[in-house]
Formats: sequence, structure tokens, C-alpha cells
Amino acid sequence: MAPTDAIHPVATGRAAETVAQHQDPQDLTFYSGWFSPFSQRVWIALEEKGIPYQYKEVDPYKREEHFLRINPKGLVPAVEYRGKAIYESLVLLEFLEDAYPSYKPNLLPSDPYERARQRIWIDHISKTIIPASMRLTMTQPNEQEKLKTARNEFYEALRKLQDEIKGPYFAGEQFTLVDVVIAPWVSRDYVSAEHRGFKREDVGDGWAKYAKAIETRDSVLRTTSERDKVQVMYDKYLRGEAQSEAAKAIRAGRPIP
Amino acid sequence: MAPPDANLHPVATGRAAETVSQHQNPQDLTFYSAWFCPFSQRVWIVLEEKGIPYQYKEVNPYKKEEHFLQINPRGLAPAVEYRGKAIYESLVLLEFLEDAYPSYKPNLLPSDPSDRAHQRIWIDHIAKAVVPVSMRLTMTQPNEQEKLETARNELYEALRKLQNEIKGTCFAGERFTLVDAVIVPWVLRDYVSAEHRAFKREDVGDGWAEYAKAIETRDSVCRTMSVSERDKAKVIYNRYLGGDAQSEAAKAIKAGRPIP
Repeated sequence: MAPTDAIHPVATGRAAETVAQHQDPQDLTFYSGWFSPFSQRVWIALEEKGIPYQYKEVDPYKREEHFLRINPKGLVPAVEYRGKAIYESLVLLEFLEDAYPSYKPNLLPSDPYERARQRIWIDHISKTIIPASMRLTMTQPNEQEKLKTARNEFYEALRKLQDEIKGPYFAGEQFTLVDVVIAPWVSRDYVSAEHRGFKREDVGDGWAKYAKAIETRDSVLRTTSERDKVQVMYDKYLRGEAQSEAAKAIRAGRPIP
Repeated sequence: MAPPDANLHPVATGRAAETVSQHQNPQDLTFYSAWFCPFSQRVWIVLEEKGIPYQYKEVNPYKKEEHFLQINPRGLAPAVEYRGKAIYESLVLLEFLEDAYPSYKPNLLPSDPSDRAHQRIWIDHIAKAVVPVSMRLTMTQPNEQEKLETARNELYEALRKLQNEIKGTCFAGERFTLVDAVIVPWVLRDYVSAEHRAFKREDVGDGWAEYAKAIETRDSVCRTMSVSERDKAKVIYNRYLGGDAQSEAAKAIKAGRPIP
């Protein structure tokens, strides 16, 4: 049975409206999995900047031929821009800044040092926060010690980021790439809250406030689907049986592809 | 107990030593580097390619000194202090140098957005698929024949994917770009796997050996190399070969965690 046989095939809720508004062919075709947090990063940026795009739903578990020609890794998100294929969520975020500089807001500052600072903290999210988050979700609740360790590692990783937050967003008043990069995981932390004892308040002062600011941003709400539709997928993560490339990599101790 | 590599040769040698001595004056940019570190060398190569004025400061990341931890809380090389502000992470630094010194030629990233994305995709491939696999191969013990063959094949596969994208003498054609700078420190060090893990450039595929030779003989690469003084680097590589390397990268690979 394919891993996504049971999963709802399309976006729902507000995300469905957004999909419906982006059905016309454009210079940019956005290949996305409605449930993928990596896809959602790029979707948020597209919505923030009001870039014209055509939304195409892809099931990354199905590895369809035509999509493998766009992204040989067969993973979402991916983009086709004037005939050229681009993939990797972080590469795509930089691409949108490069290719659409007049579409505001610019999500990267113009100052070279500030740009570097954004990239340092994006790197921290990738290397430390996301793997810790996934490990926590996949740790089984009967393994109390492992669970506690995983949860503390996750808190530590978030605290390092929290120390850098200027408020209300990472860089202060402006919503920037660091916020975009972490927002999909913040939106999904209810899974760890309900099943792994995670509490935003336990991260430290200000984290709950920051998380709320991020998850209620309009571009985030517009790209979020109904929770009940994605539960079957999170159940797999919670049982330690998730079949995404990211989950398999975490279990194998390899980089998330 | 002394830190694992406290008996490491403390400074660059050979041509790299000349380069170090040419960069002793204070500048807007201070470059904190470990002479033996491939991650440091990426940034060093770009500084040399672009002729950016910098002051070179040697750090030993195995012996994390207080003042350096203030620059980079992770205590890792490479790091830069630019007009009083600290920046670290080799790939972040490469992008920073392009952003901060646009008039220093060559530009190592193309100006076209799709071409820049293409560079970043293959830099990402090197970071995720080539470097960790290369390190795993070096650390796999020779008595574990199956594991060794698997590791070697994984490295060949990862290199082949990159090789398929090479357009000319360099990755992007005739111009040296960031992808070349990002991989060349590992190409320079592949003699370790060649001598001890049966790695052969020819076994990657047609063109790989030529590409490797083209980038490793580039002047900016030669000027930042102490590795030719192979006996100085041997103490480190012996730890990798023995499976007990103490770099953060090696520890991460062993633990199945991202290279910090």
C-alpha cells in the first residue's frame, strides 16, 4: 500500500481557496504537496510577495515520471520558471528574492551582514531545530528517557533561535526568511504538544508570543489546510513509521535530502 | 588530558604559509581559519580569487579559545569578523563575500536568478550527499569489506551526479564559480581515500579526473594549500582513518547528525 493511499489528495480549508485562485498558467509553476512543511515555506513566500504562480499538486510519495523530470529527487517543493526546473526549499526562497526583487516585501535585507545573519539562523533551523523536532515526534512515548532527551534537545535548539528574536518577528517589525523557514514547524507543533509533552511556554519567555505572531500571519493561514485531513500522516510519524524521505533520513542518521 | 589534536602542527606550511604572511595587517575583514580545515579552505580560496583584503588569524578549533568563542559561539572555523560583526558557516561566508564585495572580480555567482539557483542546488548536493559520504568512506574501517564497498559506491554515485552537470573545464564552463570552490578542498584530499580506501578518480566516470585536476591546480587553491606538506596533515587524517576523529564534523557523522 502506498504511503499516501489514505491521505486526502488536495488542500482543504483556506489553502484550498488559495489553490483555486492560482490555476492559470504563469511564468512560474509551483509544484507543491499541500501537507509538506517544506512546500509551505515557498508557498508562504509566494503569497507574501504576491508573485503570480500556477499551483500544481504533487504527491511526492508517488514519484510520477513527468515530475521526476522537473526534480530528479522527486521531492516537493519544486518550481518551473520559464522552462527551467529549480528545487530545494531554501534554494527556492533565495531564487524568489533574486528573480522578483520588485515584488514586496523583500524577505532578505539588503545589507550583506544582515543577509548573512539570516542565513546563519536559517542554517540553525535546518541543522538543529528540524531534525530535533522530527526526532521528538518519532520517539515512542513508552521510551520515557529518550523522550525527555529529545524534548530537551528541541527546547535547547529553539532557545538559541529565541535569543536572536528582535520582536514581533525574528528581524523585528519586518517578516523575513527566518520566519518563513520556521513557520511550517511552528504551525505543526500541536502534534508534539498533544502527543509528546511539548509546551511553547517551556521554551522560554517570548517563544509563545513569537509562535503566535508567525502562525497567525495571513500568508501562513492562507496556505494551511484542515488538521483532520493531515492526521493520518502525523499518526505515522507518531508511530515511528513515517515514509517521507526526511523521516527515513532521520532514522538512518543521514542528512535530510 | 590534552585535547585530541593539541600536537597538531600549529601553522600553515608551504605556499599557504606565504599567503598567511602576506595577510598579517589589520583590515575591515579578519579571517579566522584553521590551516588544515577543508571548510576554512573554501572561504580562503574565494578571498584569494577575489583579491579581498583580509587579515589571516590561525585558530585551532580543537582547542576552543575564549576570545574566538565570542566571534563564533560554535567555536568552528571558518569565521569572519567584518567591521566588528561576526559571521560563520562556510557556505554563508561564500554568499557574504559575493554580497559584500561585488566589485571584487571575479563574481563567483552568476547574475541570472535561475543560474544562481542552479549553483545553490549543486552546492546543496555537495553539502548533503558528497561531503558526508566522503567522510564516512574515510572513517569506514578496511576490515569491514562490505561497508567499505557500499561507502565507496555511494561516494561514486554522489560524484557522478555532480559530474553530469559539469559544463566545461570548471563546473559552470570556463569560469570558476562557487560550486568549484565548495568541492575543491575535498578533491585535494582525496589522496587519503585513494591511498587507504581504494578510491580512484577514474572510477567516478569520464571527465572526473580531468575536472579534479583542473580545479586542484588553480592558483587560489595552490596558494591556500598546506596539504602538500602531507606529513603535517597526516596526524589528522590518521584519526579519520582510525575512526576516532574528534572534529565536530566527524562526531556528527558517527552519530548520524547533521554536520554542524
